Amino acid sequence: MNAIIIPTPLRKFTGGAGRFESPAESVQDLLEDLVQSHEGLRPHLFDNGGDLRSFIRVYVGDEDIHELDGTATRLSAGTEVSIIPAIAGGIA
Amino acid sequence: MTSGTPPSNNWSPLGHLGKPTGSNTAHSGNAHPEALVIRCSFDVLEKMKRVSLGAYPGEGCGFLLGNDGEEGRQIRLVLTVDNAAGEDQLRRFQMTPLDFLKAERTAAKHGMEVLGIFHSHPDHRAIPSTHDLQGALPHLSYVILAVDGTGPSPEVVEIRSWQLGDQRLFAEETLQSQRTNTP
Repeated sequence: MNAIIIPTPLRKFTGGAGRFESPAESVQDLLEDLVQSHEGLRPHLFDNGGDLRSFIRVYVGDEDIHELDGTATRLSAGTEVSIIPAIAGGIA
Repeated sequence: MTSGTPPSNNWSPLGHLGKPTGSNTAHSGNAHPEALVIRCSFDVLEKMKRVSLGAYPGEGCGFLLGNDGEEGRQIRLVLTVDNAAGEDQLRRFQMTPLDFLKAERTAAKHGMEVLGIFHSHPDHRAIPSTHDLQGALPHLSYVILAVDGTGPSPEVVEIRSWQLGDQRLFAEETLQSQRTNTP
């Protein structure tokens, strides 16, 4: 079983839960299990094209998936994955 | 800073503090955010203003920590964050994932939550831009301070708060300040 940690601002879509567990063996499958269980999360994690939003960072342990195999990153049993937002904005 | 007659509970509405500055396109809708009222103590408000003025002509930013209650959202603590937007910080702000993790840990340590972020719009209105919308998260209050730099010294002329609704559109919150700090 693997687990994904949900940041506080997104917990309203998980009934307040900060942790979601799934037997998924890749980041992509884990995220998909998460949004299928909590559909309200989908528009905040994925854009209309189904890609992970640019300001949503996913870490496997302490490593950003961009430094691994992206959402295709494989997970060994007992891995903890974290969703962490990079807050950005501005006038233009 | 206050407008009109302060209500008996000492909370005063904010909004336009002086002349509007620049222009922005509002990316807002009619979706109802979960926290319609956001309250900031005088100290919290002053800190946001200091950071915004200090960052001018760049954008200042930080996290807002506090608690949600029946009477609305109470912001108790401001965590200032260095703008990580680099050369783009004249028109952008960025807070890293590590900044967010630190803010969540600080909030937990004080029995609070990360409830919002603030940032300044130098020489632009305090309304969300397209870029603000693209990076917005639900549940958080987005307090924007408009800084007007056309006078002898920069001045905060507008402070407004927004929250993302279910349709990923911003709705404005009622932002109130209190003259005296809350216990």
